[in-house]
Amino acid sequence: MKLLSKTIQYYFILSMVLLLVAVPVFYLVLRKIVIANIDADLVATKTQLIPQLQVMEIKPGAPNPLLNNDVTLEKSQGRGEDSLYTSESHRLLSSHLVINQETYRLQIRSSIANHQKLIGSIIVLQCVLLILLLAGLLLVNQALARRIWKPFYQTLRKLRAYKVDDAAPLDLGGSAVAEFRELNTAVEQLAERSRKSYVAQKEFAENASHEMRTPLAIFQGKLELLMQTDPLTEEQAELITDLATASQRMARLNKGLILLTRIQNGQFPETEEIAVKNSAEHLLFQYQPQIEQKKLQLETDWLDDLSVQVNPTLLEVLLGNLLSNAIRHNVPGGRIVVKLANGAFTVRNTGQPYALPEERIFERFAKSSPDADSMGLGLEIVNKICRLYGFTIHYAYENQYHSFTVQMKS
Amino acid sequence: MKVLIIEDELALGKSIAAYLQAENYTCELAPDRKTALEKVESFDYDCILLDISLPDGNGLYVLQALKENNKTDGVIIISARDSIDDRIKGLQLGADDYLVKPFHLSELSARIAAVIRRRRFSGSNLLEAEELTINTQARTVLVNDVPVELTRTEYDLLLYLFSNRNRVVSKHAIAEHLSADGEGLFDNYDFIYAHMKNLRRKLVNAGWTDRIKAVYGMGYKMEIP
Repeated sequence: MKLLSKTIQYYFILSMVLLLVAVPVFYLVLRKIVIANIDADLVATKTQLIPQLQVMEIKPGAPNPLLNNDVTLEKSQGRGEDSLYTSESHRLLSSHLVINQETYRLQIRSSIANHQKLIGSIIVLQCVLLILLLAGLLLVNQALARRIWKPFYQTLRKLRAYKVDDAAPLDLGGSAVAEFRELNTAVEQLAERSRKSYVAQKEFAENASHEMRTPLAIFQGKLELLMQTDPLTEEQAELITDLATASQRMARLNKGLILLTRIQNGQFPETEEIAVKNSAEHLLFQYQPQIEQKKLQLETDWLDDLSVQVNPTLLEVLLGNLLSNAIRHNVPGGRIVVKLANGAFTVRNTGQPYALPEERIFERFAKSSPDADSMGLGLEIVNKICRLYGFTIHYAYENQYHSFTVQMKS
Repeated sequence: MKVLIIEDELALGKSIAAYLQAENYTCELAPDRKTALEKVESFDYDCILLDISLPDGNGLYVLQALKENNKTDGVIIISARDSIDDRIKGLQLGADDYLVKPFHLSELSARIAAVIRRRRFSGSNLLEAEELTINTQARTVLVNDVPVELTRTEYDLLLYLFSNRNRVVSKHAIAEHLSADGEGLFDNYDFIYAHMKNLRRKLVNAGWTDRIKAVYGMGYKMEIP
């Protein structure tokens, strides 16, 4: 629920409660006041009438000019206190008085129906007023809140668009509201800290990779010299081969790391229009020996003549990593299906008989197999390249096939 | 043949020198730019190996000095940096090749041989050893003056082994040399055997005495007396 709706919701509840309580209370109070008013009138009329009645002779039959529909006088047996009560739509005052030693009961009545109408009108008017007031309040409040919270939403939007690998630091701009200013400053500082540590980490990876190259070269060179020594036993040759394989892996890992940092640094700015099919076919041709070696069945399906505006090196790396993975992680005699359709490049291959953890395979060094030759960087590089060009990559395991789909154009 | 190795890492420089000695190259070492400049000014080299990150400054300066003195020494840059910019800069300044560390000594040796071949204007493009003749210009191979039809990979393999003759060349180095992109995405070296088998069969059928020797699954050695 949005903050705005939340506040408005509270306002609305409050308004409803107010409306529901206030109107009946107001009605009751108003009614009470009106009745008190009528009562006062009745008492005043009585006080005015009694002296006149007492000095007047009562002739039965002849109409008394003082009496009418609302004022009646009749003989009564008992005596009692004055009483005020409501009967039907009238307010009645009944009083006993003695005229010529005879007890009479005087009844004065006044209609409250008229007053009731007035009360009704007042209540309706009040309701309308209240509703208008509340609606206005809500509207004003909403508009105000929207205006007040605007910098907040701006901050939110900028934060959402911000990536830690952006070259520029996060700039949220100022705000007239102190709280938002503080928020922006705090968030900017946080972003700056993470950006700095990201840059430091990236630089470290870069420097470490570069610094590693010279010792690696020395190591590799000495190994090659060791190969030249004579006599050389088979046992020694085996040891040297293992070392050479390890150093080869190190060199490749190093290359991968440097490529990653370079992609992250945006060091592949130049792009050109490349047909994906040509690039993939070229790579498959290069990998032919490996495919034959594993006796893999290759099936290609070029349904789309897709061209993308990318860096040629990166496209080659992207496709190359996916295709070589499909070869490397395949079983001997397995199958590879390469498909280009609907703006997507798909590689499907047989391999381990279980699905890979999709959320982890694109991470650095998330090895998918115990196989020593997977270096754990290939898919991260693929992922980074996809992100760079706005491609989406998706992994699925269906019908014994591992499939990677890169959506290049929607 | 004289080769100058401008490299501040002594261990690496020495390794290169030791490897190249088998080729009968005379190697000199220059651990910094100052020494390098002195040597370059006083002597002519067939090939200069230049590390561009030297303790006393950028090695590209040596390239500039060579250019200013109109020297035609072949230059191969060996660098730990491999950004496209570095490459372009080096090649624009007149370097013949650019090799990124870590590299295989056999690869370096093959590249040196190629640079020297290209630089030797008067010399022939023919590499000869007994009944084998390789024409590097036409990329053809003759055994007893009869052409042998080789695939591109087989030719590359033969030339690579020949450039590193009498030395063991590791299968890793061969695999990296043969994979066109040099990425070496595979740890699978089996495909080399197939190419090697075909190459040897074709040469032997043409009357060549097989000089290629497998060394315990570690690599191959072409022995040419």
